Amino acid sequence: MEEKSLNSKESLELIAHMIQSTRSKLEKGGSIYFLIWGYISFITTIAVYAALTLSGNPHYNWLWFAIPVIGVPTMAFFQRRTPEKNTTFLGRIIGYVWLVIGIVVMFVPVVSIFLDFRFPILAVIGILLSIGVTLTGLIIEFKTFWIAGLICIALSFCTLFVKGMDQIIIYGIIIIVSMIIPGHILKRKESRQ
Amino acid sequence: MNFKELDPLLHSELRLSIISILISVESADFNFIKETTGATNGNISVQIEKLKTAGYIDVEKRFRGKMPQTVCKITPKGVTALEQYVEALKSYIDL
Repeated sequence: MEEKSLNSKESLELIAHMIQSTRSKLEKGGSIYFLIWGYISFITTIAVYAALTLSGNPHYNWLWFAIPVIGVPTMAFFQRRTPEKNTTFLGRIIGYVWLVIGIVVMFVPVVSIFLDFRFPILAVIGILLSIGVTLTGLIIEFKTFWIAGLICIALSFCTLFVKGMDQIIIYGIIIIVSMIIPGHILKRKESRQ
Repeated sequence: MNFKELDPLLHSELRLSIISILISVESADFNFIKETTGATNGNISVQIEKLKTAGYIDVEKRFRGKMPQTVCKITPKGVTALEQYVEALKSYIDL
């Protein structure tokens, strides 16, 4: 782009074009976070299911903590590698939503260790994650996300009505529907832009 | 017809592009501006410096990890200047 003077019409067209062009690039890059957390959560869910089924030893539930232990450094690695190209109000809001949800999700299993009754951890975490996905979809106006989020809120409530290993199966489905599938759809959309 | 004076600083293709990008975001990285405008590094640097000197944008140089990063942000003065520029343009094309 050379520096040149513009007539009035060209100037207005240029302003409109630049604003439009900037907006179309804004949400690019968000899919990687859904895919990272989605796959780490799903693989951990399979590992816990397999370990509990094969051994019957409830101590294998500690494997759930692999999600933050692997997820947090992986996220940090990708954030450092990917330069932050721009910040927007919407991007900041989405960041805050996931920060709050992430902290609460990490506290739920820790607090439940000290409870003397059976706390529905997977249902509560499922509901929290699904709320995050729904809100993200509504904020960025991406239909796939909020529909997937609402389906998973319903699925999370379903986990309250099933017992034992079936809860883990439903939780695995929640991860696929709320994070992995929308993450891939968003990634495909990003690569088309 | 009463024509309003156009701000000469904004009445240039690249500077107007940069300000238009920055009005759409809270802040933008140098590379994002380069990618969106398609202009060269040198040209963008010169125009950013002019906008900064006029007080239309703030420029912050920082590190993200080991990578140096130049982040630009429009100032309230820049927002007002663009609003006045658009108002002036409207008087020329009779909107």
